[in-house]
Amino acid sequence: MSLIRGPRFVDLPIRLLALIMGLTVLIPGSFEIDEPRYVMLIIVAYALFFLAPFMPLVAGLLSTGLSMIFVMSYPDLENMFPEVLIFAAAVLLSHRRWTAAVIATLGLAAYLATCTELGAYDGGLAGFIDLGFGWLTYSLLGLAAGLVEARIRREITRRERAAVEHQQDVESMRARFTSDMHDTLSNSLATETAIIRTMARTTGSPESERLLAELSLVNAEATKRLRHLVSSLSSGETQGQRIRLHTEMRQLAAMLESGCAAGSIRLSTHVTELPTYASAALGQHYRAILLELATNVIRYSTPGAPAALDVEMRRNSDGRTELVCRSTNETETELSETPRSLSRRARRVGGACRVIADEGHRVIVEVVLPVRYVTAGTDDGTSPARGPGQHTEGGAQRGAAAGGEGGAAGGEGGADEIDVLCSHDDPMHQDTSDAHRAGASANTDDTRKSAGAAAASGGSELPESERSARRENRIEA
Amino acid sequence: MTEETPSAGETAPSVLVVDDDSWTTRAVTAVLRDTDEFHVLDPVHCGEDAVEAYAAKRPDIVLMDVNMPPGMSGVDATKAIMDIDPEARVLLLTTVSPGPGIARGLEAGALAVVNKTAGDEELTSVVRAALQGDSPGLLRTLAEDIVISGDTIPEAPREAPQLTERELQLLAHLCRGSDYEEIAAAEFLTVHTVKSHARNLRIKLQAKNLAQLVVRSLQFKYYSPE
Repeated sequence: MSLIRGPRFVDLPIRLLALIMGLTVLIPGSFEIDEPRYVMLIIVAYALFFLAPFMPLVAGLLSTGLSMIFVMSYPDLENMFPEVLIFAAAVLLSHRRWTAAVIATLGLAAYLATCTELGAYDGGLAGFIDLGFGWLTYSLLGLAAGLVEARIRREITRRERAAVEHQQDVESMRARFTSDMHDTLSNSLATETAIIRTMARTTGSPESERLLAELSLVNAEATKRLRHLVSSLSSGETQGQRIRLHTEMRQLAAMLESGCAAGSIRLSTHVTELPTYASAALGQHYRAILLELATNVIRYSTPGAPAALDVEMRRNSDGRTELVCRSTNETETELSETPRSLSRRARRVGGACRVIADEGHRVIVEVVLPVRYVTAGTDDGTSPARGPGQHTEGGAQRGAAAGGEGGAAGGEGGADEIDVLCSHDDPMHQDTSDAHRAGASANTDDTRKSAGAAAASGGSELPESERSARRENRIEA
Repeated sequence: MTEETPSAGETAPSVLVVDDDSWTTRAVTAVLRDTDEFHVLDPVHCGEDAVEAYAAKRPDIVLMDVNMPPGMSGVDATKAIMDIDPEARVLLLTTVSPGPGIARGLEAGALAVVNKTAGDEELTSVVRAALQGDSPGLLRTLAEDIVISGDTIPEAPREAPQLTERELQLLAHLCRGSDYEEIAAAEFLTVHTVKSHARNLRIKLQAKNLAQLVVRSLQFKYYSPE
């Protein structure tokens, strides 16, 4: 069907016309004599009608040559080749192939001259009028078809351009609204931060300070989420894009320290050397974990006592690599159970959470996430394409990734991205709510109860002297 | 709010905070005053007042908000201040998700950007670093900030300056905000050589300072924050 329809709007009528003209060979009386050579030439002439819409110049040249042969062989019989020639010239005109159309017309003129010279059927004034009228009619039709086609194309182009311009206008308007909106939100959050800080400088109540610190963390988290959102909007990347672990951790540490400082809590963060990148899933997990650890520190640490938040990569006894997030603080209440949401989050990725409390009311909450190094071969293809010679952060290391689990920070064999080792569900669907809860809800309220069930000690990475003095409650995945 | 730090002597570096939001100026000046390292001038709340205050008091550092409607913007105020004193040190005060204006502010002559919600330590360290002069450490998130802000970066000229592979690497380090010492260690060069390369890059890319170098890198697509 597409063969008949053709690429242009006018191709269908032209090809249908050619089909009809070609099939007229079947009408009785098409053959004046039954000499095989004559019959063959007539059949070829009609067949050329089928060829003309697809290869008009070839059909025109063939019909010119064959019309000469025909007129020399059968000067007194009607010749069908000039009809093909006229039709081919018209098709050429519809394509606006001016030179080819002139060549076909010259072929027709040569044929007329030959006929006149030979005194054949199409010769003389009668032949000139007959063929000339046919040529003029077909040429006008072909020219009109070409003009109609051009007009349709122009209109399509105009409408397409208008649609694109409209789309661009809409996009530009959306971008402007988005930009204004995020600027307004961002400035409002900045003002809130300033108010919280100012209030923190004036308040004297420890309880108010804790609340301000929590508020500050919630505010900082909201600000950070806004930046992520705007960042993905700006770059057109999906939320599943890998994150820059170094930068992220530095910003997160500054955010947590700053938030705690608003509540007069001296939180210091320590981050050992980490791979440059982390997968989006891992990023969401550790972000929520650190936020919850910091929230716990704000809520339960002894006022004025120093607290610490440590992040490190380490290899466990099985040779697996782990990302460890640990909070250490003094508390006046004792801790009996592991924070439920932290445990749940850790279990989700095959990790564990445990609480270590010593006699001096020092509490350590440690969350261990097993991770794997992402190699070039296991890349999910979410990395943005880069132009030649373009430098991006960590780009040099990315290409040289190597496989295998384990290894210290920096990656084994040059792998510089880590991901969760396993995932028991889709963290992307749960992280948002969990992260919010981590910052604002009471998901750890049940964790600070009177000392109760002390679990068996199992912290192989802790000094033996400390381990013996501590009680642990460990939940394994 | 209007009194100046009594403990900070007149010899201490002076800082002018410009922001249309009085809570922000209050919080930022409080942080700086608490350090006793700076002579914090009375904050002002619009571009016109900032230019006037600069002309009158010539502070060592100006912390300038970018957008201060309906008056003169931070970008125009920076331009005016640079006209008064080409050696002026202006830092743009932005938010975590900055809006448009950063690139134009840097083109106007600002040294770097600093987040107005940054922690006390970070804020003071940025001001301290800016007092020392142009430093790549001030540019840590600048490239990303510019991209996020949605600023329209002017089209680069057709003829991009030819940079060597070494220069491109150095440019990437600078855009990431690595210090001269960190770059020297990473590239096995001396700090002097790194600084010399940075100077050459500034000349090649026609950047007045390192922040403008970052803008040019984005403009010529030599660097793209991931």
